[in-house]
Amino acid sequence: MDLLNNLFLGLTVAVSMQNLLYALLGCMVGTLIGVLPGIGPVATIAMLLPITFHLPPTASLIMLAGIYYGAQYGGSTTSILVNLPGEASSVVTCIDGYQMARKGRAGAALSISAVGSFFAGTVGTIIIVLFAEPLTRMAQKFGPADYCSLMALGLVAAVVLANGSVGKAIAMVFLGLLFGLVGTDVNTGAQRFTFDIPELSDGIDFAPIAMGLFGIAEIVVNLERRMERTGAIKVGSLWPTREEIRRSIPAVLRGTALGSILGVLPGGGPTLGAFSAYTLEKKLSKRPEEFGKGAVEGVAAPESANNAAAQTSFIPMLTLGIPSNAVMALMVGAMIIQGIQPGPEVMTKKPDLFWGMIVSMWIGNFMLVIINLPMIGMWVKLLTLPYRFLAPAILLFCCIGAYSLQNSTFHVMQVAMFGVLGYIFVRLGCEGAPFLLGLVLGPQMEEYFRRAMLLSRGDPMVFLQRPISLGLLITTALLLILMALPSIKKAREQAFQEEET
Amino acid sequence: MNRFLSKDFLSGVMFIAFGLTALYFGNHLALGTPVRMGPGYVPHKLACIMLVLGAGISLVPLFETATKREREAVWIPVGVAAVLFIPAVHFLAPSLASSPWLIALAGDWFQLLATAMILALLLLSILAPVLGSSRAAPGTQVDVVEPPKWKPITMVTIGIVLFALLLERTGMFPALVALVLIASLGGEEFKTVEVIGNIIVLTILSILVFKVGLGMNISVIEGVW
Repeated sequence: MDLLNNLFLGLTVAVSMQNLLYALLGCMVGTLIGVLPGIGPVATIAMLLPITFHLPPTASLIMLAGIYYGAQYGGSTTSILVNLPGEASSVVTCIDGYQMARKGRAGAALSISAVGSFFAGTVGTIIIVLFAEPLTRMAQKFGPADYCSLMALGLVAAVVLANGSVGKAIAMVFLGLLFGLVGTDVNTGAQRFTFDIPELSDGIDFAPIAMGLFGIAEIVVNLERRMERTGAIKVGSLWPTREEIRRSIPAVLRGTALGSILGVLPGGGPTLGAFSAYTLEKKLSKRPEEFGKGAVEGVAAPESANNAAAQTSFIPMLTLGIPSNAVMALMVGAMIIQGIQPGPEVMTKKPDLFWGMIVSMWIGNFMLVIINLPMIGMWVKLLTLPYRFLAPAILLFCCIGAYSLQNSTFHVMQVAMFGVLGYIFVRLGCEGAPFLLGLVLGPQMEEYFRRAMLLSRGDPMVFLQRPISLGLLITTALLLILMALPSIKKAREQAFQEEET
Repeated sequence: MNRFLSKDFLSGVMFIAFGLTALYFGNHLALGTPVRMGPGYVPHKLACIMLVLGAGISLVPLFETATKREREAVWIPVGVAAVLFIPAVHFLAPSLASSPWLIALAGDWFQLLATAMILALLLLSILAPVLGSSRAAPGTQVDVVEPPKWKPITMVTIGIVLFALLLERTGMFPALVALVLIASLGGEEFKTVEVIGNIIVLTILSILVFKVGLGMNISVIEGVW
């Protein structure tokens, strides 16, 4: 009955007026940025990180989580209505969703994707509840060497799923680790790479980097190319036909299952879930020729999958403290800003935060269905807002936000600096996500590495002698070898090419 | 297409630059031993990894776009030299009683590997255009870096820097005006009326969110409000 008690505790936390309000706020902001092309959840969460500093920890995490899954909803709306994915994870929804809209079935596509997403979100939340405790208990047995190997696995897996060259993504992880070292060395008190700047002695701040790399660089890239707008489309009846419902139920179930599994994997997440679910439906369908011409399964499956994955990707972050994608890395950053060390202790030491957040996710998903279906018309109108209004607003929020972290203009300068760096990364085709993961995990990983080596008296074999660590390292090595195999390399390249078109 | 302007080659160079920077500025940090690591141990290892990865990332596209003749004339000799370089320095440097810098280098296999790869890359970048061609061999593809458009990135950066400089001296409003104005200049269209409207809306919004809502202690116009 522990589980029920915990859920009840979570419920009491989540339904407090304040937390409900922040869940709602998060969902609205999330939907908004999901609808607006040119700004994704990573940039938004980065932008809002300093603001959450002023909120209590539970409320701030609830709001950030709301932004994340709200963005999945909002992204699908624009994919269906105007063939513009507001968000990477809803790129596949465009294919069949927009075709349905052209046939006058936009309303049906929207409601199926909303209900499918809600179902998937519910299942995802249940999975978190079921797996959180066993995983946390397992994680408490981990020694420093095991943790170090686990982080290595998490980082490598993130690389495998990064878009583009594996070699560059690995280098980006190491670059992130290197930036994570800036500041005072915990063991000796030596200043590392601080250049006598007092603001750097506590370590390089996470929020300005994320804002620069994702927010500013994104704005600049968007300013460079003309943003195209297509006229909005009529929504039509929200009710799907009986035939559409019959065909979408199995698709929702399969999408949910696949998305839940892929979400937990380190490096996985909504985008991967959505793509795999679409491919699976196309393979299983008796009418594969209908795909691309408005097949309802092609909307139902990826939409459920991306929401399920958005939920389950919280599992490694909440239980092990290992973020599986860039958004989760930012959540870890938010926790650290609030003075909470992410990891297995969160559940035992802060059960109200842990369970409150989980229950509020379910409430948030419910809110999204209720709020968003009637408000679709308003969201579509927002699409016509030109980017030249949006860009300065985002910039301004980043700047004031960065300043508010510690009331120092140095942080604003950092935003500018990392904006330039982020722009260089984009031009050179280097992914920012692995960098961010490396940056977040860097200080902890060094700490665990040094502790493990100290305990083993300098013998690196300790990483191979502990069974947990060995297993994790073998998995890591397998992943790397798999990536080097020519056939898989080819399939991977093809998958990413599909994503780009 | 110029092989030296490919995205991969230039990313590799960037990683090497970061690695060298970390080595240079981390030079004064004590390395320590694997048991009791000094503050410099992990940074040093990471910097060397950056050098090895960076050199590898740059070398692969260069090799892929080389002609057969170039591979035979340049790549094989440079490769052999790089492989021999590691044991040569390792065993010779201490016995020659050369500079302490070289002896320190010779004691660290990993740093030697990084050095050998960087030297090989340098040699190849000089020799390949001379003995081969700086253009890609026929039938090979180069993913050339797009020429950047300077206006947006410059304007946005100047805007943010000005904001940072003005914020505490003059207050939020002048800083905001500078940022929005300059950032708007970076876009394709600039309509004065729209920008003024945007400034008014954003001023009201940020006063409401940051000053009233979050209770931040910043003045709107320094000394006035």
